[in-house]
Amino acid sequence: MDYGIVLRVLGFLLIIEAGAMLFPLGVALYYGGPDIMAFVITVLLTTAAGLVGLRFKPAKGVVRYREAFLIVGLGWLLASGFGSLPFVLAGSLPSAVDAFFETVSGFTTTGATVISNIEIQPHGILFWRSLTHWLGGMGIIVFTLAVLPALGIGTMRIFQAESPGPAPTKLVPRVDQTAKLLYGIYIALTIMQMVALKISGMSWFDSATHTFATMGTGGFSTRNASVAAFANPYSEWIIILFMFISGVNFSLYYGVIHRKMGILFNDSEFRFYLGTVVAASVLIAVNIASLYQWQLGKIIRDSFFQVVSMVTTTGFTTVDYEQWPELSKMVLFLLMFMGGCAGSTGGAIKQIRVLLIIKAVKRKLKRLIHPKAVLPIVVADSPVPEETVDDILVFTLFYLLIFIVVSMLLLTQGMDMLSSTSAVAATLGNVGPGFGLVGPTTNFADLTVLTKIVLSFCMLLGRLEIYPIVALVLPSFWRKA
Amino acid sequence: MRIIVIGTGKLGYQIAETLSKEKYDVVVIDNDSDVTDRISESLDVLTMHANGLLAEPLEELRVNKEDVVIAVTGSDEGNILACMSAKSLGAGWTIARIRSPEYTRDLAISQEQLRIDYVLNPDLSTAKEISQLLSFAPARQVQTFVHGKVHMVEISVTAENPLVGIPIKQYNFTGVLIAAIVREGRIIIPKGDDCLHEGDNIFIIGQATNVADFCRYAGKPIYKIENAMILGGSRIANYLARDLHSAGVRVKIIENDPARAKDLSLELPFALVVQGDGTDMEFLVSEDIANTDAFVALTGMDEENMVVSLLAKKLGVKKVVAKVNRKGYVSIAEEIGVDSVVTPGLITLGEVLRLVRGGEVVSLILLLGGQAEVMEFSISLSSPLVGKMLKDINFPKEAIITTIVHKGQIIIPHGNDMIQAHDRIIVLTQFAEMPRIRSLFNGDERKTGHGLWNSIKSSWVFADN
Repeated sequence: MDYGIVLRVLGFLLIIEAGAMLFPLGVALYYGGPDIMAFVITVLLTTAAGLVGLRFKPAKGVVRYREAFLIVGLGWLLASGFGSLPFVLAGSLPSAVDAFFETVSGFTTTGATVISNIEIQPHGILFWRSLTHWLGGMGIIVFTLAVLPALGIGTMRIFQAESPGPAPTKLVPRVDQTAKLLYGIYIALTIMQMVALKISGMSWFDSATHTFATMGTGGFSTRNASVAAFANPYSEWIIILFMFISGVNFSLYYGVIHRKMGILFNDSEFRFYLGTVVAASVLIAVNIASLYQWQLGKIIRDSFFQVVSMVTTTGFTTVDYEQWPELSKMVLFLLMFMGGCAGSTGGAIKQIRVLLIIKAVKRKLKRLIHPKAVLPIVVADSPVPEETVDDILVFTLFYLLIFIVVSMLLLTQGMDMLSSTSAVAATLGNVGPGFGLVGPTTNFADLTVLTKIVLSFCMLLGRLEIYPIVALVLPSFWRKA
Repeated sequence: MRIIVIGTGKLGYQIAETLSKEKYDVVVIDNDSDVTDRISESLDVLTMHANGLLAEPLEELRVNKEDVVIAVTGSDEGNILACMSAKSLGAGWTIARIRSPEYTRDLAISQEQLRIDYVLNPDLSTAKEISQLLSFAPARQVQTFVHGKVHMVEISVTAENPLVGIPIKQYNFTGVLIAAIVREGRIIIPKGDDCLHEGDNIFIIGQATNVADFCRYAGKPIYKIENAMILGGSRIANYLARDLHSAGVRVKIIENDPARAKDLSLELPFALVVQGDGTDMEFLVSEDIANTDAFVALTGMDEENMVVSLLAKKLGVKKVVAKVNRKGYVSIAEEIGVDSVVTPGLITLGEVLRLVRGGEVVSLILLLGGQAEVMEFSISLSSPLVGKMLKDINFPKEAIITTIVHKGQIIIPHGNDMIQAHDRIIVLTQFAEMPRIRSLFNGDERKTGHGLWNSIKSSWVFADN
C-alpha cells in the first residue's frame, strides 16, 4: 500500500472541501446568520488537516486497485466527517451521529434528513447542505482529479471506483481532462437550471439550493414541505426536466455537443430510461385519476414529478404520495431500486443493469427451447462480454442482499416492515424519503442511533456502488502482497 | 494534438506508454478487447476497441490536421492502408511500420502516393545500429550525431583503466567528455568529484578520433572487425549482412530452417549461409567460431540470443552482440557478460519520440531501457537560449549539455561557452527531466505541428545523403 499517494490525494480533497465551504460562509456573512463562526472554524480545521495530508509524498506514484479503493472509501468518510462540523458547531444538529448522517446524506445525494424544522435553520447551513449534493453528485474525487496536478499512473482506477455504472469510460485521452469536461457540462446545466428557476419566480437562494439538489439528484429542500411549498407549477416542471437530465449519462451530452441529438436516442440505456419514466408516469396517472377528480394538469404534473424524482433517486416531493393508491406506491417503491443511467448523478442499481438483466432473462427463456442457440447479449450493436453480464448479476444480487440484511436489522430497532424496507431502499438507492415512518411528510430524526449509523453506511455503499466500501473491511485488502 | 496509435503490440504499447507519461493525448485503437481493457487500466490513454484499418474509428475520433496517426499493427499492408485512410480523413501526419524489405524498397517510389509521411522499419534501424556498433569495436554502444561528426560510445571500465579512482576534475583530456556513468543499472550524470569504479560503464562523447584516443588510453583499443557470424536469418540479418558487406566485413549467417537458408543465400550472394543449429556448440566450433571477430545473435528468442552469445564469447569471439526484445532483460544481459545488447523496440521508440516531439529535436536515442535520453537539438534564431552562456542557463541537475557544434566545430562545453543560433547541441538527460529540457529548448512547447513536419523533412534529407 502506497500510503503517501493516498494521503496526498486525501489532503487535496480536504483543501477542495475547505474551498467549497467558503461559499456557505459567504452566504452566512451575507445574511449575517449565527452560523458564521461555525464555517470559519470548519474551514480552518479542514484546511489544516488537508495541509498535513499534502506533506506526504507518493512512494512510487502508481495507483493500484488498493490505493484507489482506499482513496475513494476514506475520501468519502473524511469529506463527510469534516463536512458535518458546521452542523454541530452551529447547533443545528448537536449530535455528532445526526450531523454525520445529514452530511453523508448530502454528499451521497440521498436527501434523507434528520432536521425536523428546516425552515428555522440559518441560510449558510441550508446552503452547505444543498452544496454537498452538488459536490457529491458528479463525485468530489472526480473534482479533485480535475484540479489535481499529475498524480501518476492508474488515476483511471480512482475515477472508476467513484463513478457510478458498470464501466465508466473516458471522453478524451486523459483522466484529468475527462474530469474537467464532465464538470464543465455539469456546471453549464447547473447555471441553466438556476436561471430558469429564478425566472419561474423563486428567490436566488431557493433557486441555487434547489438546483444543487436537482443536479446532484439529492433532494434536500429549504422548506419542510419540499418543492410543494412553492406551489409553483412552472418551477415544478423545470425541476422535473432537470431531474430527468441529471439522470442521463453525462458522456452522452458530450456526444450531443459535438455531433447531434441523434446520439441520445441511439443509446439503448437512454431509450430504456425514457420508456421507464413514461410508462411508470402513465400508469400512476391512470391510477390516481379518480383520486384527483380528473384534474388533468395536476395529475400529469404530480405523477411525472414523483416518478422522475424517484427513478433519478432525487427524492423531492410535491405531494404526499402515501395518500395514493397502493399500486402507485408499489411502482414508486420499485423505481427506488432502478435509479438513473450509468454515468449520471443518480443512484441505485442503474438503468443499464436492469436492462441487461432483462435481456439475460429473455435469453435464458430462449435457451429453454434452443439449448444450443448462440445468443450474445447485444447493447448498442455490440455484444456485451459475458464477464460484464456476470458482474452485473453479482452486483445486483449483492445490492439486494444488503437490502435484505439491513432491512431485517432495522426490524429489531422497532420499525415496521414497510418503514424498514423503504428506509433501506431509500438510503441504499440514495433516494431520500421512503414510506411509513420515513415517508414524505416525516423524516429520519426519530430513528435510533444504531439505525442512523447503519443507514449512513447504506448511503455510502449505494453511492460508491458497494465495492470500494466493502473492500476496506476485507482482511486480504490490508495484507501485504 | 492527439497521437492515435493503431495496433498495440509491444511497440504500440511502448509508444502509448511513453507519450502518455509525457502528457500527450494518446488514443489507442486495437481490435482485441482484452488488450484495450488492459491498456485502459494501466495507461492514461483513450482506448477504442475497433478495427483500426477501417475508417470508422477514425471518423468517430474526428481526426484532423493536428493529429498524428501511427500505424503499428502486425501487418505491413494494414499499416499502409491505415495511413492512407487516415490521411484521406484529414490526419495531419501518418507514420507506418513497414518491415518487409521488398516493400521498403518499393516505398522509395510510392511513399508519397501511399500518403505515409514517415516509415518506421525497426529491422533496418536495428541493423544500422549494429553495424555502427561493429565499426567501433570495443564500445558497448555507438551513436553518432550531427551527420556522423560527433560520436558517443559506451565502454566498460576495467582494471586496466588508469583513470579508476581519480576524481573526474583532475582528468587532463581535451576533445572528449564523460557524459554519463552507468553504475548498478542506473545512470549518473558525473560531477567533478565523482570517480570511476571498476565495473562501471561510461558514455564518452566527442569527435571520433578523440574518442578513439580516449578508448586506447582507457585500455580499450579500437580493432577492426574482419569477419562476423550472424545467428538467425531474420530480416535484421538480411539488412545487417548488406551493411557489413559494404563495410568490407566477411559475413557468415547461420540459419536452421533450410528453406529460409536457401532464400537468404540467393538474396545475399556475397555472404556464406550455413544451415544448422546455432545452439549446438560442436557445430559452432566446426564453423570456426574461435577465429570469428564478431558474433551477432538475432534469433527470435531473447533467452537463446543471450545464452548463445555467452557461449560464443567463451569460445573466443572478441565481440558478441545479442538482440533482446524484452526491456527487462537488457540489464541482466549486460551483467552476465554480453558485450552489447540491442533492443529494436527502444530504437524505434526513439525514432517515434523524435518525430512527435519534433521542433528542434534532430535525433533522439534512448539509453538503458529508456531511463535516459540523448537528444540533438538544432538551435533556431528564435530560441530563448541564443546568446546565453551555459552558466547562466538554469539547467536541470540530472541532465548535461555534452557538446556544442558551432559552424561544424565540435566544442566540449564549459560554463563560459555561449549558445548561438544554428548551433547543434547534444544533451543527455534522465527521463524525468525531459519536460523541463523540452520547455528550455522549445520555449513554448506543444507546438509540435510544424516541428513534426520539419523533422520528417530533415529525415528525408538524411535518407538522401
